Amino acid sequence: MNKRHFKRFYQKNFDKIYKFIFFRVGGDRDLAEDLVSEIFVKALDKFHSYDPEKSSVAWIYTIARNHLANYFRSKYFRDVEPLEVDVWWQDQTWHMIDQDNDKKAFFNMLKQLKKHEQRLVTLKYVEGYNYKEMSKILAKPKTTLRVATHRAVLKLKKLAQTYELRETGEQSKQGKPARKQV
Amino acid sequence: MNLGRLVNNLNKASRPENRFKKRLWRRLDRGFDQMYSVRPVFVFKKAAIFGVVVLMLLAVAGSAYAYESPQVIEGHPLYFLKQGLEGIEGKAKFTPEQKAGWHLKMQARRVKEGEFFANKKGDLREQLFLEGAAQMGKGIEEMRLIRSMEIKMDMVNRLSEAQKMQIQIMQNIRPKLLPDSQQAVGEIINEQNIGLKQHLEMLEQLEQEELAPILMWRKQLLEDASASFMFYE
Repeated sequence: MNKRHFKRFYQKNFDKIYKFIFFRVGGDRDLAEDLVSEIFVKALDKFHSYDPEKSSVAWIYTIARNHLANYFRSKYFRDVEPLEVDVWWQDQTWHMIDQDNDKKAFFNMLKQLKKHEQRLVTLKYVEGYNYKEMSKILAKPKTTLRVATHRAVLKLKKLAQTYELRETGEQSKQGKPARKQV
Repeated sequence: MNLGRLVNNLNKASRPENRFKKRLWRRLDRGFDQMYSVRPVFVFKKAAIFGVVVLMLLAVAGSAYAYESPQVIEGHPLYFLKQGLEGIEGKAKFTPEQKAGWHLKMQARRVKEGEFFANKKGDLREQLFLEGAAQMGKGIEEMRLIRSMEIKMDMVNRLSEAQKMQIQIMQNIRPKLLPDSQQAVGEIINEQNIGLKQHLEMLEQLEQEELAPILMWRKQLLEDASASFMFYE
C-alpha cells in the first residue's frame, strides 16, 4: 500500500469521474462535489483490495456508477440499474442548458441516439476517456469501439444539420438573419 | 451549430474547480495516513534493516581488509580487528598439528608485514621479525607433541620451508636497513639458520625412524629366509 500510487490514481481519474457525475446530476456543482468526494473516499477505503494489474480507470468507474445508482435509488425511491446511470441526463435540473440553447439542443440530439451510442459519445467526447480506457470500461476491443463511436458521431452530425435547417427555417419565417452552417 | 466547439465548451463548463480538487486530496491524504498508519513503521523498519545491512557489510569488509592486509600493524586503527580475528582463529585450533600449522601461518604473516614496512617503520620491523621467530618457536613446541610420524615429518618439512623463506626475506631486506637494524636482523637470521639446521637434522632423523620398522622387517625377513634355508639344508 503506497500513497504515491494512490495519488497517481487520484490525479489520473479525478477529472473524468467529476465530469461523469457532473453531467448526470444536471450540472449541480455542489452535489457533484459531494458525490465525487464520497466516491473517492470509498475508493480509498477499498484501495488495499485493488489489483494494480487491472485497470484503475475501469475500477473507479464501476465504483462511481454504483454509487450514483445508489444515490438515484434513494432520491427517487425506485430501483435503478447501474448501467442505466450511463445514459442518465436530467434536463429539468440542467443549469447550463437553461442558459444555452445549443447545449440543450446537444443533449436533445444525444438522446435521439441509441443508448450504447450515447454512452460512447459521452465517454469519448464529454468525459474525455481514450479508446484504451473505454475498452477496459466497456470490456470491448478498441477497434470495435473506434468504429462504433465514429458512426455515432456521424449520426450526431446529421441530427445537428437537421436541427440547423429547422432553426434557419423558423428564423426566416420570423424575419431573423440565418445562423452559420455546421 | 459546430459540434466540436460545442463539446469543447461543454468540457470547459464541466471542469472541476482546482480548489475542490486540492481540498479533496488533502482529506484523502489524511484519511490514507489514518487508514494505513502501518506505513511509516514499515518505512522505518525498511530503513533500519537497510542501515543494519550496510553496517554489517562495512564490518565484514573492514574485518577482511584488516585480516588480510600486511599494512595493518600496531598503531593502525583496524589493528584491534586483526588481533581479535587472529586470536579467535588460534583458539579454534585444538590438535597439536592444527596449532603448529596456525603458528607457522602467523610466522609467515609477521614476516610479510616486516617485509612490507622494510623502508618505513624501523622499530616495528625488527619487532615483527622477532615476533615471527617467536611464532615459529611456538610452532616447534606444538610439533613435538604430534604423535603421528607422517604428520610430524610433514610439519618439519613445512617448518623448514617457512624458515628458509624468512631467512631469504630478511637477507633481501638487510642491505636497505640502518646499521643498527642490520645488526639486529643479522642476529635473527643467525638464530634462524641454527634453527633450520636443527630442523633439517630432525627431519633426517625422523625419516630414518620411519624407515627403521621397514628395515627391521626386511632384516627379519632375511633372517627368517636364511633360517628356513638352513633348515632345508
